[in-house]
Amino acid sequence: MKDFFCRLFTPWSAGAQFDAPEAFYGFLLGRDKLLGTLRNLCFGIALVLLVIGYAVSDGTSGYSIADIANQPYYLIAVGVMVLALLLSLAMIRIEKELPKEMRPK
Amino acid sequence: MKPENLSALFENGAYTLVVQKDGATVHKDFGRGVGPALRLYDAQPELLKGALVCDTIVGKATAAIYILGGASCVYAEIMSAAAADFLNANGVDCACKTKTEKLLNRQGTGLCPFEQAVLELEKPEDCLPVIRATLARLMAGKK
Repeated sequence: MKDFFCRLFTPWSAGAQFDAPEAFYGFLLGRDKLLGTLRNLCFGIALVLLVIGYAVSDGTSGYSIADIANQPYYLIAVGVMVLALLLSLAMIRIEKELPKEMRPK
Repeated sequence: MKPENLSALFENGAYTLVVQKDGATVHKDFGRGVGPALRLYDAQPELLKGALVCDTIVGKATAAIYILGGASCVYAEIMSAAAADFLNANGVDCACKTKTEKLLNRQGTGLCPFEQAVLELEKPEDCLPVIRATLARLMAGKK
C-alpha cells in the first residue's frame, strides 16, 4: 500500500521499487506523459469555464478579486488552474529525475 | 593500473563512467544502469577502443558493451564475478574494488534484469541485441 501511494503521489522517489533504473525511467516517462495530458485537460476546462462565466455574467460586476470570487465559474476556473500548476510542478520534479537525454523537449 | 587511484576519477560520485586514453580523460558521464555505457557505445564507440574504462558498477551486460567497444582495461567499484570472467575470457584486463558473486536488482529480490538476460550467453556480440531488447522491455514498463 505504501509503495502504491508513493508511486501515485511522489513518483520521483519510487526508484527503489523497480528492478532496474531503466524500468524506473520508463515509469517516470509514462507518468510524465499522463500528467501532461491531465494538465492540458485542465487548461481546456479552465478556458471553457472562463468563457461560460463571461457569457453568463450580467456585465455589472468588475474584475476585482472579490468580484471574481462571486462568480462561481471564474472561481472554479481558478481552482482548475491551480491544479494545472501543481501538475506542472510535479512534472518538473519528475523530469529532474530523468537522465538529460530522456527528458521531454 | 592502481585501483586506489582510479576511484578518484569518479570525483566523489560526480561521475559514474570515466574513460581514459593515454592517461587523459576523454569521456565522463553520470547515470545509472547500462545507459551510460550503451550511450557511449552508440554515439562514440571510437572512444572505447583501447581505452581504460572506469565504471562504478559493471555486470556482464556492461562488460559485453566494453568488450565490443574494444576497451583494453576495465576498472569498477563493484564488479560481478560473471563480468570479471567474461572480460578475462575476451582478453580485457579488469580490476575492481569489490567483486560480488551476483549483481542483484534494486529490490534485492533477484538478479539484475540485464545480468539475468545475458547470463547464459557466451559471445559479446550475442549480448548486445539482448541488452537492447531488455532495455526496450523495461522502458515499456513490462516485467
